[in-house]
Amino acid sequence: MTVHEHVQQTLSAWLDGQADPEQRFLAEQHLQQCKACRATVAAFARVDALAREVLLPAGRLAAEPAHGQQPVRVRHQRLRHRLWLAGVAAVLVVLALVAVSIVVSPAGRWPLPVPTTAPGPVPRQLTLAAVVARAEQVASGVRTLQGRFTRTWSGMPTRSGSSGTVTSSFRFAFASPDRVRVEGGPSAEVRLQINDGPAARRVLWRAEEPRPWVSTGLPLVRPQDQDALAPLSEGLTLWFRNRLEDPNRPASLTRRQGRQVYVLLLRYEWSTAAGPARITHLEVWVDPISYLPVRIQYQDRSKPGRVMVRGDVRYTDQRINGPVPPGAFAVPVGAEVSAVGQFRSMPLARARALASYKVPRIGTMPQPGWQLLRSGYAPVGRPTGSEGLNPPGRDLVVAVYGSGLERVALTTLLVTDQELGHRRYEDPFGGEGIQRVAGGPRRLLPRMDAEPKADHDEERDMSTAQGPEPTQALALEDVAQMSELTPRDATYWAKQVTTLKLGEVPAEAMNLNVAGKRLVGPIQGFGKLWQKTYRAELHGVAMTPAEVVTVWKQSFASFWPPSGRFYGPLTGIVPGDVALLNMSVPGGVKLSTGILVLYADEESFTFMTPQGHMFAAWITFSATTAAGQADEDGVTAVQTQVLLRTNDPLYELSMPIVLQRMEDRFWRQTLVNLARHLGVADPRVTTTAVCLDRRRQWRNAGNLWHNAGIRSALYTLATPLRALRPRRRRAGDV
Amino acid sequence: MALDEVRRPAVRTVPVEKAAALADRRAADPVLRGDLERALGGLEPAQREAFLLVVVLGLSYEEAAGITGCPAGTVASRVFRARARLADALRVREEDPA
Repeated sequence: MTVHEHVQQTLSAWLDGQADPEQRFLAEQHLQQCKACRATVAAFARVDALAREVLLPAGRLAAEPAHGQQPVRVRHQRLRHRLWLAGVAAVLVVLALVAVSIVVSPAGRWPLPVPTTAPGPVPRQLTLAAVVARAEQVASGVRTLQGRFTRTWSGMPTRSGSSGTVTSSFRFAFASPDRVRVEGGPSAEVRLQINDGPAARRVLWRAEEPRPWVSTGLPLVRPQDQDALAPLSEGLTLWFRNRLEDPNRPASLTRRQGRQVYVLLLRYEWSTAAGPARITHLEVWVDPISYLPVRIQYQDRSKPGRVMVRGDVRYTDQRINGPVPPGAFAVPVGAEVSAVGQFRSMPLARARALASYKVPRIGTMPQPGWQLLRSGYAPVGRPTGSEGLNPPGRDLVVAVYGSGLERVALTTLLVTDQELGHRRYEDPFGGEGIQRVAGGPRRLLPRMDAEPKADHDEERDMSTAQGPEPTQALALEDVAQMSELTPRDATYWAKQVTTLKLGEVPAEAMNLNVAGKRLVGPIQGFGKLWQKTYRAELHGVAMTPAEVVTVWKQSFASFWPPSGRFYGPLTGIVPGDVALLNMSVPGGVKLSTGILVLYADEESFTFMTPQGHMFAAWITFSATTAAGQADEDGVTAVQTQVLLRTNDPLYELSMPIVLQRMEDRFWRQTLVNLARHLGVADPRVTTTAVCLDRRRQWRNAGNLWHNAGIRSALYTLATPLRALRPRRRRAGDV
Repeated sequence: MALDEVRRPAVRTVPVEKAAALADRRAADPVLRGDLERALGGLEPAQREAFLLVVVLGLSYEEAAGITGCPAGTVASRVFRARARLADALRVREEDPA
């Protein structure tokens, strides 16, 4: 079963918010890419909306409960309102069940005749219309509904170390008006209790597995009530799949050596509605092996230019049975968190350097057998607590609470210990994060003590992406518009393409193996997975990374060694550009292939290769200021990092003999040329090659078909023949 | 077979006093609404029930499962099939301007 087929079957559940986390993740990933599935979701959403519209009268209902017998006036109200009604009705359905069960047939079936299709009297049976009518009557007196979560853990100690049952309640988070997100962990008992109004009810379950969503059956907050209930809307919970369990991740990460660290970069955007928000940015660094946060850092608006860091995060299984050891950052549920003394402050530039190029020392790496107890934080001040119990190898939950929170986005970075620079990894939300519903809460005027908005950008610049302000929220109802959503950093990324298209090509270039080819990343390749890093320090060059990259982009082709020709558009390196490459390979053959500019920002750009290229690779070019130096006068370094697998068995065969050396020589020469151009007399290039996965992916051996070397050679050999043939045959030649 | 049933609307007679009520309710797009109602009528009862409970009333799969007395997975697949068939039926209409 392909991903597409698999996802197709889960779209319905996804739309209902009932897919399990894995399905959810898959579906959301897939929806980003698959037009057909988006169409399906849109069609489903349309059906749903229509069904609610038709079946749920929004206007005043007659007292007569039997459906369809009385005229029902429709007022033009928003779907949301109907949803709300639907929710209330749902509650009533549940409540009524007890009563109805006496009436209903022994089989337990509960007939729900549909208006117009089941005419005739329906005495003594609760019909849909009757439910709705009653819901309407009841609901008319209810303006707001409030609720609380009560979560009960057995044997979970508090911070003070007492064991036994701890019951605590706190505000819940919701992501759509009638769905609450619950973080339930192993052996957690979750109670949802809605206290207010006639809709009072309880939901209780013991979860072996986390249940990310609870339909409360009623909207906790109607959109129009959100202003009045601002405290209820403070929280958002992120629920994302643990990428570290991804089968496609480099195998070395499963070993217990190495010091890669994934950085979960949580980008917060705050509205000024609730006054000046303090935290503008929070990172939780997770060790990929132990899966534990090893470092937490955030930026505080009241301390511009500085980053609050807590590097020594300790976890222990002692927490299960005993007091929290000194130094451990453990916050009991619902407790007020004081961050005083927990974090130290450091300059922004240094934090940035650390975040990008240096691995924190994992001095407190837990021993085998230790368990992650908590994986999310809201470390300071007003935010009251956040967490998620995290079954090993499953989803990681980060819950964030704080007034004014508008949007949370997540980026995962991989940082290695070899000063290899950073690599953008995947963002499960496609850059969108989870947003509060647009147009919901009223924007209040900023308070007088609100800081000027100008510093917002400065503080945010640590986040990896900036772009146009989001205007679209991802609510359940907005699914139909999903295709219109644009990630914030969209301008940095190439648009989604299935196959490559080339623009104008110089006459002397051999144009083969590019147009019509698909892109391949290391996942689609065949050979061993290598990460090769070429790095040159620009001693004596007083240029910022951005300036260096600008130069690099402008005359990218000119830095290439003579063995390769780069025919790119004249506009520099722009995301989505496709460039043609002609390489001289040993044996006198000219090899024609190409690249796509996958990503480009001020300080880096990334290429991705097409089918037939020697490598299935991401090649990232970047300039950085070395870490560990004084904040301002660090040495700028340029770097090329290639994450690659050879594309097919033939290339893999030649890898140890030819390709490896060719590749090294090529990029070293490029960096030397660039460094010379920038004024470095004697540039030194350091090369680091790490084999991340020794396994070959035999399922991709068929890539041989696209082998650009073979095709180029055949093309060259066939040149005399081609000259004899009519021109129209040429298109089919390759 | 079942699909045909959905696609080929059965001729139906509606009491006069009811017709007025129905007409009132089908404000925006009476054709589409009529289609939906017919399509709903064409669903298997179990599918219709699941669809109504989950989509229209907004119950969770588990709650719906409790009501219908079948596993949540069954509810999920019924909802899925109901949606697919409804979408199908409605698309047939949209694509058929004649």
